[in-house]
Amino acid sequence: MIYRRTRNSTLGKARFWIFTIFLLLIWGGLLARTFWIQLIWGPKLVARACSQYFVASKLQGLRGKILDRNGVVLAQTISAYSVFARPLEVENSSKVARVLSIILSEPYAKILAKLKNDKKFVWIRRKISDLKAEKIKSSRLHGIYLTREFTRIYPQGHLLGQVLGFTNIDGKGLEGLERSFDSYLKGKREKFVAFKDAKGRIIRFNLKATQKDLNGKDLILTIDTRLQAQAEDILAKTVQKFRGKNGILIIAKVKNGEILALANYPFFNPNSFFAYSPLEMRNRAALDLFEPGSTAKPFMVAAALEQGICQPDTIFFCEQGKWRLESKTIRDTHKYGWLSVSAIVRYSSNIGIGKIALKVGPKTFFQVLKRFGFTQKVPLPLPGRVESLIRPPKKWTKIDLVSAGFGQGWATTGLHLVQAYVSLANGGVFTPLVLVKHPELTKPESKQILSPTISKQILRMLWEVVNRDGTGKKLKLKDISLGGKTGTAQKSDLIKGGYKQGAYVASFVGVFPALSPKYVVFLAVDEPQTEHYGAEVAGPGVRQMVLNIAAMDKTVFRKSKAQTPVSRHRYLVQNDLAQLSDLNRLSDFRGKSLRYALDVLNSKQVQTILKGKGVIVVGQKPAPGTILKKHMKVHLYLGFPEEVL
Amino acid sequence: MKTETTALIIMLGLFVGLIFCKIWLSVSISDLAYEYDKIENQLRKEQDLNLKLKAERSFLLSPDHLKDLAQKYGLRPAKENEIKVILP
Repeated sequence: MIYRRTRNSTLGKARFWIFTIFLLLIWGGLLARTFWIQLIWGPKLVARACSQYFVASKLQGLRGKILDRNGVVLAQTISAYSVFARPLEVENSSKVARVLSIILSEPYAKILAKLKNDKKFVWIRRKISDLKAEKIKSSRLHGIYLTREFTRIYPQGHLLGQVLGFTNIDGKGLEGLERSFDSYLKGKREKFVAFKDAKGRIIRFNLKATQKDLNGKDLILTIDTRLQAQAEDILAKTVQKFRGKNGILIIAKVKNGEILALANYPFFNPNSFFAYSPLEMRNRAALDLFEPGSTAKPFMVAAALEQGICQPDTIFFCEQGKWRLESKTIRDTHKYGWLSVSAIVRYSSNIGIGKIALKVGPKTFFQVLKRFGFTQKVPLPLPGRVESLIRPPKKWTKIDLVSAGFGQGWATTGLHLVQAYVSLANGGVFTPLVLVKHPELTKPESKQILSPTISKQILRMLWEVVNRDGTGKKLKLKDISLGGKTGTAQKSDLIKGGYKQGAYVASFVGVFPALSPKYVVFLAVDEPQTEHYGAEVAGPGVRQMVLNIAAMDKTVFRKSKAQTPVSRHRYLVQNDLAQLSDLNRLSDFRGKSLRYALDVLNSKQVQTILKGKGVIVVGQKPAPGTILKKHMKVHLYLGFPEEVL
Repeated sequence: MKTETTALIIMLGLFVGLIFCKIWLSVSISDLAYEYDKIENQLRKEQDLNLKLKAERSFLLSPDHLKDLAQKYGLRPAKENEIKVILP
């Protein structure tokens, strides 16, 4: 019994030790394995895990918007999907290509070729519409992926196209303001490391910057979209009517040189920039040099008046329209005898201005042109701006000097000319043109370049051009005092030399109100075919533009008219007048148009007060039939046809 | 001896508690990161849509589009003698 118990105890001990050794061996093995994994393989495994769970990603800010002076969007960036393929993952390439070709409206063969490519990555189509992206997503095609990119759009279409420029598919500004302000507009990019979970979702732990912080800054222009649209409309009609090659129309504010409209024709739509030729993309107002013709005459007169060579009433003999100087003959359109300086500008006499030029001399005239900014680039942030083409004055012959007086033999851009007229109209203070309101850019100093008295004298001459029997007499406006200068310049023949037969640049610069100007409007048409005089070709367009501006800025009307709005009953038609004549009581205007009510009430010299919005009178106070008294107050409540009480 | 054992148990309890807190915080951070990511994506989508709608609005109000619509509905620019200036 004792023996059995001893034997059992020995066996138990042996089993215990065997089990213990077994466990120790297992633990030892585990420890050895842990040691091996942690210390020998450790760095490699950590690197592999990191590459699986952590990914380098980037956040891209949006490119800034371009806005007009009233906040209307001219250019903005929106997100769009792009389709790409990993050809190695595509299982049935012909089926996938067929589906994609239907959705994207692209040739089947072209897509199939891309899918059969042995590259790891290939673009199928970039920046597609949301609708197409949704269709691709719902098709669940293997190996076809969508990625979010940004695309630049121009909601106003061709409006201000050449000035805005465009960006390439990667959002880099290539032309116009997009190019000049590329670094200002473009959004920043931030790289960060994010965690990727088992489902492939990317989770960002670093919350340092959001997309909003990375967005580019907005650019605000001085342009007024409403005026720009009207300017483009008028310019297109003018160029088409006279079958010109191209044209420009510029509107600037005299007070601060702000450009309100800068139109180029033919138009250019940056939304589809690839469909246009470089000539159509060209911002001609800033780049194209042309001989200004008679629009340059006021500057020669300014030089003469400043030097005390003459006064506005000093007379010059205009040789009865034909003047032989050295070997050349200078002609006027009419046979003029003695003309005052004012009349020389008014009738645009080349001979008269030539005689003034000879007295002024090349150096003085060159200095005047320099002071008006012709010899420098216009201080606008537009790529490729050019300086005027003016030879050094010491090289000028007598003929060159005389020609320069009437704007031939030197060339400038539309923007230079507008800048010079703005300075002339602003009391002789050099006023650099401005196109960008925000950010504020450094610009040349405004300084007095011509005495205010001479500036006024010249403005008076410009007023006479339109309002007396000058070259612009057809452009006279009844309620607005318009001044201006016509220009008809021959075009030089770059191949044969000399001037091209029958090729002209017809232009007109309008300043209004003429004697204390607020706006300068310039229109030029290149090589008009049916007519070539500035007053005939460009003048009516400027006149129409002036009326359009006046519809927005009532302060440009003559004061006498503005104070007597009640005198405007000329708009009434005959029947209304007959109805009015026998009534001294307030009519029933309910259900009548606002226009009709205003016509009647204005003619009765009562004070009309408009309440609400609409085009129809829906109520009135006092009641119909009330005896009318001069200057009594009549309230008209406005609404729309269905609201009539 | 008894005091030491009690202290050791408390220390161990605190240690386990700290570990539990650490795990709980890590899980919370992950949850918040998921939530943040979800909200950010939603915000981005809404902002994208907002931008697209604004662009569409700009296009619909563009002078060129309005001109086309006006012509379609038989409107035309007012003639000079049809314009009334209502002065204040």
